[in-house]
Amino acid sequence: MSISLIKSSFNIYVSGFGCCKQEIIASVGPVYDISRFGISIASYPEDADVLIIQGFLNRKYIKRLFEIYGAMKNPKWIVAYGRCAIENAFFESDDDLIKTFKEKINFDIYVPGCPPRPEAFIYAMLRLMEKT
Amino acid sequence: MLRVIKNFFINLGNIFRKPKTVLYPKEKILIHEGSRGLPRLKLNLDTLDIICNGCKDCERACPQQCITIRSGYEDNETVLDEFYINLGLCSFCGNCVEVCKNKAIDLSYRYQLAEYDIESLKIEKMDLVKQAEYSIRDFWTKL
Amino acid sequence: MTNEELKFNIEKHPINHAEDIEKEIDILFGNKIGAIYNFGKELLFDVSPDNLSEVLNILRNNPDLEFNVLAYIKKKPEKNLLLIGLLSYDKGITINIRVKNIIAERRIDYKSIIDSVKKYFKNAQYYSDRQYLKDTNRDAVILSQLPETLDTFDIYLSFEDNIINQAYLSNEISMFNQDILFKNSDINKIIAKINILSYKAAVFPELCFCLGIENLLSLKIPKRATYIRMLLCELFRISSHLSFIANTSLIIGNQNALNYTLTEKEKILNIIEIITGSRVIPNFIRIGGVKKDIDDSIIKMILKSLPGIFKNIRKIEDLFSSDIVILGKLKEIAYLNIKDARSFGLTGPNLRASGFRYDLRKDAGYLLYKDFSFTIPLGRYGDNLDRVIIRFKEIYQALKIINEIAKILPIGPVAKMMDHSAIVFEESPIISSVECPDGIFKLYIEIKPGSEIEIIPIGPVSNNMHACEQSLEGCNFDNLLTTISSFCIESPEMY
Repeated sequence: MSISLIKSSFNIYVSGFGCCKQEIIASVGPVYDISRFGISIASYPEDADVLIIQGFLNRKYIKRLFEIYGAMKNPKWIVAYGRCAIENAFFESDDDLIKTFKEKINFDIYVPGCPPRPEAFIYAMLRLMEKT
Repeated sequence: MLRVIKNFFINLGNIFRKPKTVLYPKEKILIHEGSRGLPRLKLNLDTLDIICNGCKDCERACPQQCITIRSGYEDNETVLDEFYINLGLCSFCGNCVEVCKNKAIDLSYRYQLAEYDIESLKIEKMDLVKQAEYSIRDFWTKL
Repeated sequence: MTNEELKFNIEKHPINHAEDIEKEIDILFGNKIGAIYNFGKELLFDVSPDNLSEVLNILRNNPDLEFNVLAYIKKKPEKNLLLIGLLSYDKGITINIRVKNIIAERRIDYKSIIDSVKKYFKNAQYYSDRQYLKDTNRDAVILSQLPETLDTFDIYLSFEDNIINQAYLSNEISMFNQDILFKNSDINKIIAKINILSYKAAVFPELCFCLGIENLLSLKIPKRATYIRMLLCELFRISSHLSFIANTSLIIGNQNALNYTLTEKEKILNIIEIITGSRVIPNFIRIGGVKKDIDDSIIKMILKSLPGIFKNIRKIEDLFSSDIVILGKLKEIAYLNIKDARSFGLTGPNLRASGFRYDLRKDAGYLLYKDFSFTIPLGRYGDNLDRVIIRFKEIYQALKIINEIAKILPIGPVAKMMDHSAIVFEESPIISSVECPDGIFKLYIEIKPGSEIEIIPIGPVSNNMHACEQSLEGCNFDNLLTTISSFCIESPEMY
């Protein structure tokens, strides 16, 4: 794994609400300092390369998520961060919506944990860089 | 003038201060005793057999239903056949450790996990046994 | 003292205890209401939809009772249930009214019930259908986008010359039905899952649930366990307040304050991890005690690290109270006076910033907070700066409590030995409440036959949101983000 030579610089967009968001913000802080790898948090989906899906999603927010994903420019990647996002654990029971969600959104990397530690987040981003 | 001298000494102190940032992949924060990471199956150190006898207590106690156990019967005792953990569902709550009477399951200190494929999040029996190397707190120096 | 004087004194003595109010209500209403349940400072009874209006009228206007604040309305159409909470700040007692069988008995729908509540309580209008405000407030629409405090709601605004006329915060996108969460779970499973209801300070839902069940079983908890619970509560309070300060400094754009705050937060999370084993989700409190004991070495470590944390947080407070940029963005903006704050049924630091003293830790006396000497900090004006500074002051008080607990932690067992599967519950509703960092967090727990457990969380989020909407009126458009972030509307609402 190359650490000193940055392969690509990611702008990440964090969507959803849940405990995992705390840990992502903690990784921005001085102790973990994710900007060492050229990763920064974007405020608008138009600026972002990586979409992070975390936390519990209800029907209205999933529809919003499709819009956000559509607004991002190619190439783009999606990270499933935390338990709720990986197994669609907190979806309200609506089969059609889960089906379209699975069809439209292909996760590139999965980060298990509830919530994953900030180190796990940095590790996942490094692995995503390796893949690209 | 006094302020300049004061600031000079503050800056001088900052040169010798230990940096707060942990350079993550090279050095790691030593996580604390009792921190909850990936589950692992324990071995009986004399016979090198898996202690778990497949009583399914942990499967019933798991709040997220992430454990799947298949067990058979041999000489009127349950014997473990298969043991799956779906990491995508696991919340590392430690209820399975609390409920186990034989102390056959434990949590390791492994916390950095990320997979490209959702199928590789489903862990088998032998993989869970292999997690033993992560059960020492500074495992990355031994790997 | 003559007989007449004595009689006069008794008559003059106000009704302040829950038992007295229970008796008074029983005499006043008779068989119009169901059985009254008493949980310390919380009362609960059933009212049929026909009598509701009359009951509310008497509760509000009777000079002996005077429950003049609407604390919450919780709708549960799929369970045919409606909960209404009335609060009396002076007595410190909440009355919870449960309205059952709304559709089955008569064709009375929720809208007409809320209309009848609206007659007596002004802020009931916030609980009615307000979709039309989306069309009328269309001058600016801010969708939930930022990774900071503005992520759980959309903002609809109408303004003239940069002065906001009306604001509408719609939290539809973050509303989440928690019934899926607790489907066929027993007590231990619920404790492992329930912390998601308030994830910023995850110990409080666990504690609230356990206190409720212990209240039902009338268990006595070992002293050491109670002290450890309080220690955890205060640690999570500090962590939650620090993340509030981090968010505020992120919105103001002060990178220094953000970095200092996140460093201190890491230290607090470190201590939490040593005690519980996880940084965010503790899963530590059990019925009858706590999961495991704390070593003496950990207590020594906590005592050693506290002065450093205090010193550093002091530095951040200095930054907030002296930096011209921060002061200019916070000071004298979005006032909320005591009268308004009380009319919204606010609790927690947002109420205390306006200068009204109401804190369950002192008033209700849950856990053993009465053993420790601490003050409840109060603000003076109720502007944005007060709402930030009061959180700093609460952090200092929490540090003081932690210091005292660590010094006098008694020796003894940490949990009652008991078999959870052998417990047989009475079928009874429970209301239990704790003082969360943002306000009062309540749980309505109902145990059904077959020991199936139903939970309705009642959080402080919606009250904070309504107060925020009110104080945004007449505010400059530039101060929109700092005002919203100062009300701390971060966790999503569960229904």
